[in-house]
Amino acid sequence: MSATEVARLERSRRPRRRADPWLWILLPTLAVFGLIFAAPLADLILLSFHRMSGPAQVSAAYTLANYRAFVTDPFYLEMLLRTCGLGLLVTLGCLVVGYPVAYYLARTPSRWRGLALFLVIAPLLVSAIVRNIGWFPLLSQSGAVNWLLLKLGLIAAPLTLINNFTGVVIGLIHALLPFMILTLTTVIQRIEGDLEEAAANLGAGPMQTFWRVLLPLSLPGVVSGSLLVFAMAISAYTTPAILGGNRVLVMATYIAQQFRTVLNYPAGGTAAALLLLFAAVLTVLALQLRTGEERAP
Amino acid sequence: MIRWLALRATLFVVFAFLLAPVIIIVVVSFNGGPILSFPPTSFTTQWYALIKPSFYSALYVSLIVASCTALLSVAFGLPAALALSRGRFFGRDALNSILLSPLVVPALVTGVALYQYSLSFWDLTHVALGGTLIGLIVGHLTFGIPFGIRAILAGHARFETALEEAALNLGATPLQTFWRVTVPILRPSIVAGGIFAFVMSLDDVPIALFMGGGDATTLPVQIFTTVEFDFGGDVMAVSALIVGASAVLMLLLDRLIGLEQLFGGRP
Amino acid sequence: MRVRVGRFFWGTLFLVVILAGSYAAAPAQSSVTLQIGCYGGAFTDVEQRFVAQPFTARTGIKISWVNGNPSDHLAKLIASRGRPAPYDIVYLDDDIEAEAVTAGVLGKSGPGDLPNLKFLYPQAINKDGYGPALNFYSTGIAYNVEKFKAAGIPAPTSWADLWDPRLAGHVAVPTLDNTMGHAFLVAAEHLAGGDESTPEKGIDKIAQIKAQSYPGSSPMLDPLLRSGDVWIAPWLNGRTWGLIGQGVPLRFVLPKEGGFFGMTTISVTATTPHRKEALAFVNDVLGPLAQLGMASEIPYGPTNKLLAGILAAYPDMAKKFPSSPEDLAKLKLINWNVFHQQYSHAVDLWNRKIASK
Repeated sequence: MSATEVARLERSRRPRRRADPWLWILLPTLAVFGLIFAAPLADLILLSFHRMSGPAQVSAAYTLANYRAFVTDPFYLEMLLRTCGLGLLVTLGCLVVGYPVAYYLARTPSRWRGLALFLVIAPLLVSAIVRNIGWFPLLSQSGAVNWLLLKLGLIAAPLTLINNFTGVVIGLIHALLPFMILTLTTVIQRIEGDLEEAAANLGAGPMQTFWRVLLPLSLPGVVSGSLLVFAMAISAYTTPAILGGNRVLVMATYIAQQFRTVLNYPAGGTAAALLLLFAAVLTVLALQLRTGEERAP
Repeated sequence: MIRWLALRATLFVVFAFLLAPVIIIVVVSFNGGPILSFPPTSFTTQWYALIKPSFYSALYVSLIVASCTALLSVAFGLPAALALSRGRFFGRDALNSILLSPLVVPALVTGVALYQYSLSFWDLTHVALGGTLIGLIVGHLTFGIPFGIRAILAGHARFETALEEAALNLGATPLQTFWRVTVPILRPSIVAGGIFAFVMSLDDVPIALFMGGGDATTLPVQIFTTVEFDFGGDVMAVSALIVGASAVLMLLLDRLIGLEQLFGGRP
Repeated sequence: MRVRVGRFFWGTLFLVVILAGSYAAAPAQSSVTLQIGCYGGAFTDVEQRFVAQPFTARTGIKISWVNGNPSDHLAKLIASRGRPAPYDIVYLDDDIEAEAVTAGVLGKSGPGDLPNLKFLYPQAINKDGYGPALNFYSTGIAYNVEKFKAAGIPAPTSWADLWDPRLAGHVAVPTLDNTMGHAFLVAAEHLAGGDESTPEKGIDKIAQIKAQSYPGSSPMLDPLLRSGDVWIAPWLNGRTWGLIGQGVPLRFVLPKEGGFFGMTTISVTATTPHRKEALAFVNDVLGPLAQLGMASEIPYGPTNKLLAGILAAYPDMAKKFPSSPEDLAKLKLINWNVFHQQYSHAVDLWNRKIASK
C-alpha cells in the first residue's frame, strides 16, 4: 500500500471527533450577538486604522499611527492604569460591602426579604443623571455628610468627597453594588446552610467558616460578580464625569469625549479597541480561577 | 450578640448608602422651595401634577422596550450560559470573554456603532431601524444578553447534573427535563439576569439617544434632554414616581406570585 | 410546571401584541411629516407650542421631534451622507453649524426662501447662505453675590477676576464640551495675548486656575452653583437667570472685555425630500410669535429686529438676554472655522494639562 492509502485507512479507524453538541446550543445566541454587536462594533473599530479627516470622517488610507501614538505615550498608558486601578478599587469595594448583604439576603427567613431585594435594586431605577445629581446635597462641602461629620466633631474642616477620585469611587460602588449583591445572593443561596452548621459543630469560628467553606464554594459567584462589576466600572463615563468633576480622566471618559464632542472616531476607536483587548485578557485570566469545573480543552 | 449587632449595623449602613440618593430625590420632589435645596423648606405635590404628558409616553415606551429586552435577554442568555458552563469545546473561555465584552464598551460607542450599522442595514433592506421600538430593543439586547449570561453562569455553579440524569432515567424527554428540572433550579439566576437587563434598559441613555427619536423616545432620554435646560421639580417627581411605581409593582408581585417563588428560597 | 410554562407563553404573547399594537397605533403617513433634530426639554416645548402647533393647524404638516445634543445630530447627519437624511430640519449651535457646513450636510436658504430673513439682525444671518440664527444668548460670568460679600471680594468685572487667588477652590471651569467652555477658552486666549488659533496659550492660562470642578455641561454646573460650593463660573445668561428665578443668590454680568455670542441656528438639511415644507417651517421659527415665545419662556434673545421695540417696554424680561443693538454690541463673535481647526488639539492639551491633574 502507498503511504497515503495507509494514512487514509488509519483515519477511518480512529473514532471521529464529533463537534461538542453544546456548541450548537450556543450558536443562535452567538449568531444574534455577532449580528447586533460584533459586526457593528468591528465596523466602527476598523476606523481606528485610518486617520481623521474631519468631524466623524476618516481618510481612505490605512495606518497604524493611532495605535503607535497610544501605546508609546506615557500619558495614555497612565490613563489606562488609572482606569484599571479604579476598576479594581470599585470591584473590591463592591465585594467587601456586598458580600455581607448578599449573605444576609440569602440566609434570612425574614418576610421582608422581598422588600430588601427591591431596595437593593431601587437605586438603579433612578436615571443616572438624576441619581448623580442626588449625590450633591450629600457629598458637597456644604452637604449632609460633611454637616454630620462636623457636628459629631469627627473632622475639623469639610472633606472633599466630590469632584475628585473619591467621589467617583463612591458613585461607582453605589451604582454597581446591586449587581454584585444580586449575583452573590443567587450563588450563596445554593450553598446548603448545613455545611456552615457542620463546620461550626466541628469547632470552626465564623471567620474560619467563611474562609474555608463559604468563600471557596461561592468563588464562581465571586468571580462572576467581580467580572461584571469590573467591566461596568471601566466602561462607565457618566459617573466619573459628574462626580469626578471631569478631573478623573479614565479610558471611558476619553473615549466618550472623542466620540461625542471631538468626533474623532479613529482616536476613540483606538482607545475602545485597546480597552476591549485589555478587558478580554483580564477576563480570560480571571476565568482560570474556576473551581469545581473542568478547564476547556 | 455582638456579631448579630455588627451584622445589623453593617446592613443598616449599606442600605442607607444604597438608598441615600433615592431618598434625597423623593424628598426633593415634594419640596415647595427651591429645587435641590436640602433640607426641604415646604411640602407640596405640585410637581407631580406638572409632569408633562411627554414623560408618560416616554415611560410607556421605556417599559415596553425594557420588558422585551429582559425577556429576550434571558431567552438568548439561558442556552448560551448552559453551553458555556457545560460545553467542552475549543475556545470556550475566549467566547465567554467575547460575550461579556459589550459591558466593557462604553455605551456611547455601541450607540454610534449601531446607528452607523442601521444605515448599512437600510442600504440592504430599506428597513429603517432608527426611531423604532425594534431598533431600541436590538440596541438594548447588546448589553441585555451579556447580563443574562453572566447571571445564569453565576447561578450554574455547583449545578447537580445528577438531578437531570435522574429525570431522564425516569422517562422524561430532554425537553421535559429542561423545563421541569433545569429551569426551576436556575430560576433565581434567570430572574436576576432578567432584572439586570430590565433595569439597564430602563437606565440607558446613549443607545436610545442614537437609535430612538420621535415616538420612540425613552424616559431616560427624555429626562436627559430636559435637564439640559432646567432641573425642574417635575424631573425629580418623575424619578420618584418610577421608584414608587416599582415598589408597588413589587408588592403586587409578592402578593400574587410570592417573591420567594420567583427568587427561590434557601435549599 | 405546565401552568408556569403557560404563564411564560402568555406573557410573551401579551408583550408581542402590545408591540404590534404600538406600531398599528402610529398614524398613517398620508401627509408629510417633518423630522426635526432639536434639543429637547424646554426648548422643544417652546418650539412645539409657538411654531409647530400653529404650523400643523395651518398646513396639516406634522412634526416629529428627534431630541438630543447637537453634536449627536451632526454625527448622524454625517453618517447618513449619500442616503436620506434622518432630519429635514436641524437646530444646531452656531459652532456646530460651521462644522456641518464643512461636512456638506446642510442646505442653503436665501431671502427668496425665507421672507422673515430680512427682519433679522446682521449677526444672525449666515454669510454663506446657510441656516440663520433664531436666538442670541451670551456667555458671561455667573457669581454668587452672598458668598462674594461674605468673603469681602468685590463683584467681578473682568474675565481675569476668575484667576483671583481669593476664589481658589470655588471656581468651576466648564470643559470644552459645551458653549461656555468654548467661549471661556477664547477669553483665556485673549487674556494670554493670543486668539482662536493659539489654544496652547489659553489652556496654559486656564490651567492656572485652582478650580473645584470642570463641569461638562449646564446640568453639571447647575448643582455646583446651587449648593454654594462654587461661587463663580462662566455660564450662559438663560441658565443663570433660571437659577436666580429659583431663589439662588446669583448675578449674571458681562465682563468689560465683552461677553461672547451664543446662537442657535436652524437649517434645512442638504438631502431633505420636503424642502418647500421645511423652509415654510423655518420661516415661522424666525417670525415674531416664535421669537417672542423663546424670549419669554427660556429666555433667549430674539434675532428678529421687529421685537426690539416691544422688549424695550418690558425691561424685566429684556434684562435677561441680549435684546437690543446696544446689547449685541457688547458681545464678541468667535471665528468658528479657526476654532474647530484647533479643536482636537485643544482637547488634547486640556486632557494633558488640566483633566488629569
